[in-house]
Amino acid sequence: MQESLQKIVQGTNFTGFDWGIVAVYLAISVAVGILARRYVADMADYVVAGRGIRTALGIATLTGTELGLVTVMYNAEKGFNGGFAAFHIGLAAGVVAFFVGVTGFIIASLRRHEVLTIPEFYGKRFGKRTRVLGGIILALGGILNMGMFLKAGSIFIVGITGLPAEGAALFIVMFVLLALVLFYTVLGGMVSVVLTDYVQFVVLSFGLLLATGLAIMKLGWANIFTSIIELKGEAGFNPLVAEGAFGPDYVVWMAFLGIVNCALWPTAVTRALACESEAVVKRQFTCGAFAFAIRVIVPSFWGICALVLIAQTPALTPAFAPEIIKAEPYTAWYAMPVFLGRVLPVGLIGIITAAMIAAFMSTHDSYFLCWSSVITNDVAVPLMRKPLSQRAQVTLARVLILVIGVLIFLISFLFPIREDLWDYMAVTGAIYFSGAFAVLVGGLYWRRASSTGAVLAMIAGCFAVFGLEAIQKGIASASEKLLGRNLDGLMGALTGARVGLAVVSLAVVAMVAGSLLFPDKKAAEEG
Amino acid sequence: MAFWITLWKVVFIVTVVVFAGLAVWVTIQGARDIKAMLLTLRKRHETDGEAVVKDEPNGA
Repeated sequence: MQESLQKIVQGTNFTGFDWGIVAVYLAISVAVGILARRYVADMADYVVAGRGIRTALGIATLTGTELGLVTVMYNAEKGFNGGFAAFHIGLAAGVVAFFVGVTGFIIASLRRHEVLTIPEFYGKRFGKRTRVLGGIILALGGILNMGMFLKAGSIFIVGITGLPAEGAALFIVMFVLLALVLFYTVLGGMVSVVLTDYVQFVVLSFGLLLATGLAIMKLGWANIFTSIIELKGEAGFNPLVAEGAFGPDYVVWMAFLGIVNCALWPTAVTRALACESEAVVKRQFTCGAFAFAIRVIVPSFWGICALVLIAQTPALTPAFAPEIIKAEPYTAWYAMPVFLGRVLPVGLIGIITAAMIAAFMSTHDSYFLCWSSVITNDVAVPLMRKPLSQRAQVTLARVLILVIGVLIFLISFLFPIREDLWDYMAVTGAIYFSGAFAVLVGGLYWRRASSTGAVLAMIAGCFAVFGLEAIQKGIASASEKLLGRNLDGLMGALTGARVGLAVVSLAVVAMVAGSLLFPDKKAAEEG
Repeated sequence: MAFWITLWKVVFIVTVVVFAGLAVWVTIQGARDIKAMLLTLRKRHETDGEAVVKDEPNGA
């Protein structure tokens, strides 16, 4: 962190009293999680809470999971860099979630199959080979996707509390947070996740609304809009302007990601699988559509407010960039927490920080549970010669949660992110969902879909990794050294959105062609 | 540009207002749903002969 930014971060209103609020909140969350342990008897309780979740609780846990601290961070970065044009991501997410809720597209059909995970459906529909491969790709993409969560979380905590970014303090805070989440998730599984998600929904929802109101009071509603007009012009409002932060291909990619977020992403789908009926699933997503929109729009608005505050405060401007139209990754991540640290009063800043840490924990616990249950249920169990007992499955899932915790700790601090945080997550997620889209839609709605088509689609989806700028830089560098050819121009044109859309199309073609050329001889039922 | 400014103002206000109402409803109804879920889990375990709630026979 540059020295000027370090000084700015220390200008926060955060006090010891606010730390006390955070500590009390964390203690309550962990206690609730531990109490849930007594309700877990088998894998169905551990993974989908015995399928006993009703509409309101379903919305709470869906929001608790999908509105994580990392969500707030990457959307704030989008708002900071793209202005109000970033709202198109939230609008697309809300509209698509509403459509999915009303029609039950993918989610209702999956719930009807009474599976615990998405790869389990692959197994029922296409056989064991597809299930195991699907489980491996899902876990790989998911863990990579989760790789920046700790980094984003740590930057938020440093930005809002004024902790020194260098030295041991940050490391200790992150370690304690991660340990707490691992502790109650390992013990209580989905039951504890649902209970803590509910507490976190309540704190987070009212915290978001309160902070938004204060931000508007501080900066002025009209001032926020006129400032963005001055700073970004039309590109700050129109997402279709090519020279802005987005462009037409990016908007199409976001519309597709709207489907992914509610109908394909395993943590959201797990909520659908945990509902007590198909009708509840549909209601959960129809009503939850506003939660899918708000999780983008409010944090983007905070990012916009941060941009306005920084542009209008000469002491803040130089630290973020020579011109603040587009700040560098990492530096832009600090903008929103620095803004909140200066706008919110003592006490309220503690509540908002507790809410954000709640968001951090609610996302982590669900992701840990999801990836560990996929590896247990869809990779380990099908490959075992002897069937695993329910108790052994729960134990294995618990061990895997710890292993994944260590992995994301390493990725978070070692991988060099070069793009916006949201774009990194979209690309890493695409490793899984590009293939999953073709396989799920084909498997649920096309009778001629075959296992070979499914495998080819999933392999095609792995090409999404080439959308990562770090990978592109590596290829360009290798090409220059080995072949003497400079590929910077080509790589520059291959944005994450373009690569993602191309890979989704490729996976669909692979699914259709593979199914037509290599049809299944009999329905696979071994999964 | 005027179209986009108006659109984002409407989207922001509508989303925030509806979400505020949703948050109040979920807070109240969600608490009831938790009671129902825990009761369902306890009953299921008792039916299966695997009563996990050994120290609290009347539930949480």
